[in-house]
Amino acid sequence: MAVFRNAFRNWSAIHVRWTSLICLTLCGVLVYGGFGWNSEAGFHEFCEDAVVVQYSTIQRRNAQEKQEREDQENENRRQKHLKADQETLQERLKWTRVISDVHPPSEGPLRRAVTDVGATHAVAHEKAQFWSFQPLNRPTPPHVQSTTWLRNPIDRFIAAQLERLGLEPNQEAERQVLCRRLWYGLVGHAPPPEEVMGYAADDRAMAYERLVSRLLSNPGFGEHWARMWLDLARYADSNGYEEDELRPHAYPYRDFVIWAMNQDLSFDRFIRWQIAGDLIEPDNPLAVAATGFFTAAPYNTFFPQEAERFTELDDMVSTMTSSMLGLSVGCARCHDHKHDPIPTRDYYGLIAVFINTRRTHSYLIPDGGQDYRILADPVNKRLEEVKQIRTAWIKENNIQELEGFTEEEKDLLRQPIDPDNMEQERLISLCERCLLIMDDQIDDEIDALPQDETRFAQLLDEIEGLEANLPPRPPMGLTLSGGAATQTPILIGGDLRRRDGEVESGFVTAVTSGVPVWENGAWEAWDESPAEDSASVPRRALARWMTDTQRGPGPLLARVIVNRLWQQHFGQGLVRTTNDFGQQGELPSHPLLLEWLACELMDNNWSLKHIHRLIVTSATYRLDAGADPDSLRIDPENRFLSRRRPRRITAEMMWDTLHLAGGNLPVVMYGPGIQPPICREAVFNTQKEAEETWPIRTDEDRSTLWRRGIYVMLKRTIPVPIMQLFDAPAGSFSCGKRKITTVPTQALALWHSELLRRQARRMAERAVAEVGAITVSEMDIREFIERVYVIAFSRKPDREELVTGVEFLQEIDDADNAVPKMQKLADFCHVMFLTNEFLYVD
Amino acid sequence: MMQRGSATRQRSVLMPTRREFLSRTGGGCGLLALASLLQEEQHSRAGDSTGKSGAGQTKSVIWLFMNGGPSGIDLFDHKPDLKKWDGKSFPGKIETLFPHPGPVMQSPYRFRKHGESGATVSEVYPHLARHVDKLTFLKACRSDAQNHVPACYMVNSGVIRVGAPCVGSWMTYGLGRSSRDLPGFVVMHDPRSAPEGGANLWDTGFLPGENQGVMFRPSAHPILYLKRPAELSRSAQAAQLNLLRQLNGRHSAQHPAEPQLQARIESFETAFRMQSSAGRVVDVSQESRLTQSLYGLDDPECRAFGHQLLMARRMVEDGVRFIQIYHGGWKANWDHHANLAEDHRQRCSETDKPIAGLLADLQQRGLLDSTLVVWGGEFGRTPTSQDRDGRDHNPFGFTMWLAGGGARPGFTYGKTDEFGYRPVENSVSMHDLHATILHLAGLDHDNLTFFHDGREQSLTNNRGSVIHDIVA
Repeated sequence: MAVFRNAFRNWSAIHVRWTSLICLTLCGVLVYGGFGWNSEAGFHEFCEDAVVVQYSTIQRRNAQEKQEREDQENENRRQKHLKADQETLQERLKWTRVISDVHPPSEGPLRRAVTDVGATHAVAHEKAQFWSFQPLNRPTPPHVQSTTWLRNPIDRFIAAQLERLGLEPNQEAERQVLCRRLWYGLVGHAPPPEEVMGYAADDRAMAYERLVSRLLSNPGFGEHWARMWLDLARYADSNGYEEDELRPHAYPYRDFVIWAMNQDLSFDRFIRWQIAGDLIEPDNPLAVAATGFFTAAPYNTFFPQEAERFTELDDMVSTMTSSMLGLSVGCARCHDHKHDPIPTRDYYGLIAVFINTRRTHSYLIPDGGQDYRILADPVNKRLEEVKQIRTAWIKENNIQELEGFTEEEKDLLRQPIDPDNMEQERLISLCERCLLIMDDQIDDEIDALPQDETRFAQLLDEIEGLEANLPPRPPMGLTLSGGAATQTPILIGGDLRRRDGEVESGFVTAVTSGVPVWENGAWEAWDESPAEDSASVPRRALARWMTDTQRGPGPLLARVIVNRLWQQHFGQGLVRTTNDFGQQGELPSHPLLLEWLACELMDNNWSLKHIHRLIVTSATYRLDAGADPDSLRIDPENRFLSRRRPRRITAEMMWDTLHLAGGNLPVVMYGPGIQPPICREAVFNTQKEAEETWPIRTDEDRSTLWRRGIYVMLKRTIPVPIMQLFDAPAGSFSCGKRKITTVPTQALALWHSELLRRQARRMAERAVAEVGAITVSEMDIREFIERVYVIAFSRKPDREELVTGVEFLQEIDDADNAVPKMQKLADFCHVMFLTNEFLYVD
Repeated sequence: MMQRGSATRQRSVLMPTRREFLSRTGGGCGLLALASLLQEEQHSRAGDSTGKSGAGQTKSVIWLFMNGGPSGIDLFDHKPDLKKWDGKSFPGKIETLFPHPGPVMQSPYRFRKHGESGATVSEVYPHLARHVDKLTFLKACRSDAQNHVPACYMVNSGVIRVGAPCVGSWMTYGLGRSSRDLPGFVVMHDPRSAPEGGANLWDTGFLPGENQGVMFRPSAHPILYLKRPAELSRSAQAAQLNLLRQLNGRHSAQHPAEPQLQARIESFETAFRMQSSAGRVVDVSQESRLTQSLYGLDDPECRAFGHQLLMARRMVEDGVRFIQIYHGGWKANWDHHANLAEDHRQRCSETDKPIAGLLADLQQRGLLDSTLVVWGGEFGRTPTSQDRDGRDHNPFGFTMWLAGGGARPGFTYGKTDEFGYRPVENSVSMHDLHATILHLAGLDHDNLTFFHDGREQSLTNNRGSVIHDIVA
């Protein structure tokens, strides 16, 4: 601690170039991974391939005054932080925080992005030198002393760091523990008891590897791993805001992600489809559904204002860049990014890509719904005509409703509908909303008149008739379409009223090479040969740019995703700020390993399963959870992975395991989500009565509701309490890492909710049946307890646990004879669900 | 076969105390965790006591959220000129949510000056009017959104989009919890209907989950899942807790140095206690008849709201940091596009006595200095009429008021034009309001930050400043 505090006070700037990495030294103290070295030599012992360069030698610009001023500001800010965060200082003193707080300001290309928006265009797009923007070079796994425990190259990178720190890795965990870890890690729930027992008894060589292969091809793999991506895509099944309508056609996107994970769709393709699948493979319904990535955002349907359109576009760009590239491009909305080389110009270039896009419902059948269209189009065409006549009729008869519109606006309204004209769309929406308010009244009036006397009623009849004649509609998905090239104004400070010039589509300069992104039409470099009959579309170019490993950010894309997989497997990423690979993010704990994994991904056709297999078959993954004092002292947070830390399972994993334990988790994949009944008190909001909004709890236990947690619908204003309590995200923003909250209300939910009580009962009944007891009273209580332990914890109880269990069951027996025996057994099972061992997996 | 074990029975009856239990399990680590768990008052991030004496006084906030948009110009911001313009077109541009605004409409209510401060209050708030010398009026508040849900997000979190942490979560995050058994941030909504926007309104966003607003209902089981299922008796549950302690104790012993596991053990102990303590805070029958009637509990019209306010005071005594009470939800709210005269009067009579009672009660118990009361909606209403006798939304200049907690009493800040439509001086943005509230609680809005999405984020995010004029 003392070392760090000193470092804080007297930092001097020395950059360390470490292969492609830059880190910083403080006061001659090199800080890395939570450790400080007092000399360069010491640091080199730790990391022999580091090259320490005096900061002054890479200084290129002289901005003395500005620097001094900013130094002072930084100093003030730092002092404030220090004061406010005394208690959490330890936490803050992770080396990258240190770096961000005292980073030498305004020097070199990293800081040259000006903060004055007006000068945005003057920013030279010099290639940034930050580590994560560099091309990938495949590192060689280092040589290490102790080779006995190594299993694959990952372990060499890990072992090299451990040896430098003088840490010994733990032993390999026991087989049952590994089996449980793999099931949770790859499939997302506890292993069925027979699986654990089978694996424990399988003493053939490669039994572990065989289990890994089996689990990687288990369909549950996709259902588990899709969740990570859906968190990033802030996926939900309703619009949010005032109306919060359910989105019946949102789920195909969710299914696409599950499918992609199971099929091991190459990750670059996975990304391209999500950005522009409808343009790249228009005949492939999966590719079209993939664009649901952008339409998954919250969306206000009630009197949307123009500002909200830009909020929506901002969300699209921010979500895309932080989830795919780990860059907080959204920061550049109001001013050039303060820390990363992302000028406002780049931000609005990306906005321009999306400004002409539309939310739409697409037919998700292989020919894009052509057969259906042949049948339905004439009907639909007439339907549209009739509806237009109806709208016109309403307009004619409610002229006063248009009084609030200017003549120009009325003119625009009279023109034929142009799907790309946002202003017209906005006006129509406004106009229809005004009219709708009158609509109910009109309907009432119509009802009062003899039907055949009103033209309006005839129209209504015709609409009804036409709708009845439509052929069955193919499945539809909520997707993105359109996106013709256009320009967008730069909004100063993000303010709609302060516009400064127009920009056309462009990408992030700092991660582009060889193409001058800001030149007009530069984006077409990525969309050179569109099909003959179509124009270039910036969105399709963006998709190709995103996965371009030579001229685009492909290497960064690879680094970010392998780091996410690492986080899911170990609880923290090699870079712990998984959504931020910029200057404000942390540097990697094992930089060479990250580079190596990214290369492995790219060199293996972007196969995520290849990376999963590498990770879970490593010796590092298999370590047990014991903690020796050295490891706790030197590496309390286990950044260097000498051991395993128990990890809390997610809300969905808990949901799945509870159902599995109760024997009611059949394999039913894909399709519309479920709305499990929740208690009335948890149903808030919406214009409707609670019962119409979400099913209220009853004691019914319908098998159609036995689905995995990923199929539980997320209605934005009414989260399912047990999911929300255990930190399932609300679908508001891209979530790169879930919070892990511990609050008493969770304990209450686990103790008192109908779901838990029911699953405990089911588990008790199941265990009784599985031990082969005819009646409860004749059952061997020890066998019952053993069975319960295997179901809940994937292991048998030891002697003491058996005794404790027997005592518990005995105890209630004595305390209250009126309680049925099955109830007591259920109470026992219920306790298993409450334990830390149930919620935390080693 | 089960064995009868009298020793065991005895142990379950004599449940170990938490201290015994924790010190027994996990050795040194248990003790360590105990030390931190026993420190009930979490570390507070407050520390900014520079400036006026009022800063840092606020320990708790009671936020009375008049959902739907109460009309400042019909309640507090008296505009005599409206009478002159009544029935005439509004001179100039007026931005309304619905097109085709009607003519200017004068207030249907009479106004009178009250107290030493001489603040004007309309006839529909007679009880509250007696407390104007405790209030700090902000008469020119402004917001960025003209529609309910985005505007509610704006009032609560400073942005019109869903998902950012709300002010209650920031306060709880900043001040730390001080109640032993109750959450730091409590939300109550109108029993007739919940506000639109639902649970997103009290979302903790990217802040740690313990700062999430917890919904309290005025019943014997105010918190979701507080009620034990009928088939699980208290003694059976105590036995479960005992078994749980043993199993968790063994598990912890195998996993030293994992504070999360200890925290979770503690959460079950708290949950067990909460079943009685949370019920107690709601049980206002322990209050004297006089107090009950002070809050209007004997008046069917305002009983529900009075009950919630009385609960709020009891929570403040228990150390709850932030209590937000919504009056009006998606129905029975303040959103009177038509029939304003009658409906606003109704909303006022539901809230008048309880609010007056709360202010009087807080003062007589010496709690007003440390408790900040905030009154307001998500915006105000237009001077022009809609549908003949209603008003549209006005986010450009509307009234809110503060009381206690170090706010300057008997003071009016900000002024709107002759129509009560737009600010002419000292307007207050929602960010200014947030900055000032944090300041009253001793928190610096620029300094209270959380790292998320690439930067240190705060409630105000470089916008807004403390209104020092309204700090006592």
